[in-house]
Amino acid sequence: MSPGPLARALWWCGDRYEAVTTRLIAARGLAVLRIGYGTLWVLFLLREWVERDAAWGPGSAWSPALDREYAAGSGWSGFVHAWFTAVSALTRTEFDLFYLAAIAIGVAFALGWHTRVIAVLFALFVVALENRAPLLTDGGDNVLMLMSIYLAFTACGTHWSLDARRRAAMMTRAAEHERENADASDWRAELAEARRRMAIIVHNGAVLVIAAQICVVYGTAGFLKVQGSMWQDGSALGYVLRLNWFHPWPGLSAWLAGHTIAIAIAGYVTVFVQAGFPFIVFSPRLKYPALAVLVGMHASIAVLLGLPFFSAIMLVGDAVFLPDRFWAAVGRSVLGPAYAKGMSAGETSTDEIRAGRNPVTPRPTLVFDGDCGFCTASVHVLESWCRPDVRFVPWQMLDLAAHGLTEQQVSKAVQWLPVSADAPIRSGAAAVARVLLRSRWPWRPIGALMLVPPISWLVAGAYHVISANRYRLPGSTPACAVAAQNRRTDQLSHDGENGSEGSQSQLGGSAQRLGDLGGGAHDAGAGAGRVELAERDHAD
Amino acid sequence: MSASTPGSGPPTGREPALDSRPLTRGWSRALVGGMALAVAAVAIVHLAATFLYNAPANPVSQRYARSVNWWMEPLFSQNWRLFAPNPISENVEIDARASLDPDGRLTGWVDLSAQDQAAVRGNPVPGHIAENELRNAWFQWLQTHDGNGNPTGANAAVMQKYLLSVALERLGGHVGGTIGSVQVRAITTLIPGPGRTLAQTAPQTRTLDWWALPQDTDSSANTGVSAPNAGTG
Repeated sequence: MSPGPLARALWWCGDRYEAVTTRLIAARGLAVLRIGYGTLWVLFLLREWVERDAAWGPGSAWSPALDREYAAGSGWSGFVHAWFTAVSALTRTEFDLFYLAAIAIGVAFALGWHTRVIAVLFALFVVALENRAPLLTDGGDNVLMLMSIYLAFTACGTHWSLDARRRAAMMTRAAEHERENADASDWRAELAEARRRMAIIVHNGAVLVIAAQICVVYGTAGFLKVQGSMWQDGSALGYVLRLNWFHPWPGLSAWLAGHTIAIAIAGYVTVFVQAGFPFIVFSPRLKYPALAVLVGMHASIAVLLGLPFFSAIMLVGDAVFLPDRFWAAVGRSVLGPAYAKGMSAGETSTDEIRAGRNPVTPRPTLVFDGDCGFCTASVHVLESWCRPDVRFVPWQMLDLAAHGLTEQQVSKAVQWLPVSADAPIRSGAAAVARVLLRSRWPWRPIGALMLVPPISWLVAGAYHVISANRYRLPGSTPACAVAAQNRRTDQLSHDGENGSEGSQSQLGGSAQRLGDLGGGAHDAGAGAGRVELAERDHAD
Repeated sequence: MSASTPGSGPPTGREPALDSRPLTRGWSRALVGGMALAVAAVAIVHLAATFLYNAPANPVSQRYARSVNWWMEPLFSQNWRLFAPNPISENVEIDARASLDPDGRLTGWVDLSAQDQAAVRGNPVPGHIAENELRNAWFQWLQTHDGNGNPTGANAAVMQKYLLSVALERLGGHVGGTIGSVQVRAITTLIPGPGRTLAQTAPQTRTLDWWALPQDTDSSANTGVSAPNAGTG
């Protein structure tokens, strides 16, 4: 007996209701909005630092007296009136302190430090400062104000935030304890769950409003343009490029304005994408090309019209339309696997291990000289500072021939063994650069720089000098070479591909710690035995 | 690696419901359900208001104009008419000159907009003062005054004081002496384009009245400028 359509519809509604009351929609997208708007706000305030008094201070052309007169005629009620006129009542010193506080709140917001409280302060400060001089604003300020208000209702600190990192650290310690408490099911636990769900509902409502607001921005701009004769005949952008007020690069603008065909096409594409935006974003395939067009459009506005903040603020808002899957992938590739896991609210760490799921991917290996005290100490520094998603193995513990290495190579420089057998082995500075590429911020861009030619030559030279003199440099006591040699012959000759993992687990203390630190939370939760490590790699 | 774990379900891209435990009591379900209804109601009202606020005037938006404005202003006020329906297709040069106290000597015209445009030129990150201040001051003045310079909007007086204040700020460095009154003019030039004749693209000059500065105000315009309508021109 199959359920009727009514039953199915009811079930569907129940399922949706359960989803919007228990799951945060677009949690990572909202984190991108938080980081983006916080960062842009700080950059904007730093840009205007020199002109802050002339823009919003007591010395503004929109003088405090003018602001009072404007507010008196506006008919604002109590709280809004106090909020919008707060900054105009400040003295010069107080204003400077307010300005510094606004920067600090922007930094805290971008970092996700006590996000719930900071988000409210962020909205209060953004709206207060922007309304200090209402005629100094453009569309970017308008969007920023609206978004700061909406973001105050969201849980935008669950990912890529200091809050998330603190929560993840707390979870590993207290997860079991909490779970036991939750089973106790008294009214306190019930209330906590109800509160949690209500916060999720508010978040999801705010996400809906943010998405709709962005659709309104593009839709309004697009549909109004459709009515414009200049957009219809394709001449509109030619006029825009000749406006003296938005003319940072007159030569470039004039050159572009000469290409009437390109201008007409660009104008039509702009109108189509803007007017179609409210519909396109619901298409899982079409939205990516549409967003790509918008990125191009905003990049052009940023450069050609000299409106970088406006463009960036609009682009950050579009992030809410990209699915969490997309942002999770971006997080993995930008922040590095180990770091991205540590910074998310523990959704892959303890829970996946408990569920029997194994998030471990095969890791590349850095082969170093375990007899060299300086090398071992350097590896320890690398682990604790850079937290790379890399295994460190002393060559003395490795079956060199199985990995295509010779003793001459490994005693000359560190060697980088990539995950894929096809990828080439790298050595020396290039190997170190690849470790940094898999580390946390800010080491990744440094690693990338180390691979760019003029710098890479210098680094390679420096590496050679250090490597040649490494036994003269300070470091911890060298490991016992003889014992290591024995273990190698015992364990690794029959291990084949898993040789490096096997040797690592046998090392005990030092190398086991390497694995823990490199792998992030999941390694800490998993057992330390050699068998399990081997099983992992088979599963992969 | 593939997420082929049994029981984990298909990858939905949704945030996993961590630590979620079912609600077991009636009151907690009612609380959550009530919140869901309240949030849905507020969101629907806000989205409807946002739509009507931005849509062109129509019977619905006219009927509910008061309610919509009450909901949207000032916190959610917005305007997305940048370059729509048609982009601005004229260049406006805003000049000002001053009459100096005590003898009424006139200064030459100073191109205020050129100062902004020079600050923007070659600057990848232009500031708000150069890009928005004078431009918005001028267009707001235009919107709140008719063709003869008579106030039409509620904020006309405020906008005129603001334009005077912006003009004074930019005149400051170009004028030696005490400013008694200020005159502003705008030279508008249509940008050449399809269907525009040479005659149409000739500059049009609109010169405003003289605006006297109140006695207690110095040229730095840090205090409010009162009674700007006492024009002498």
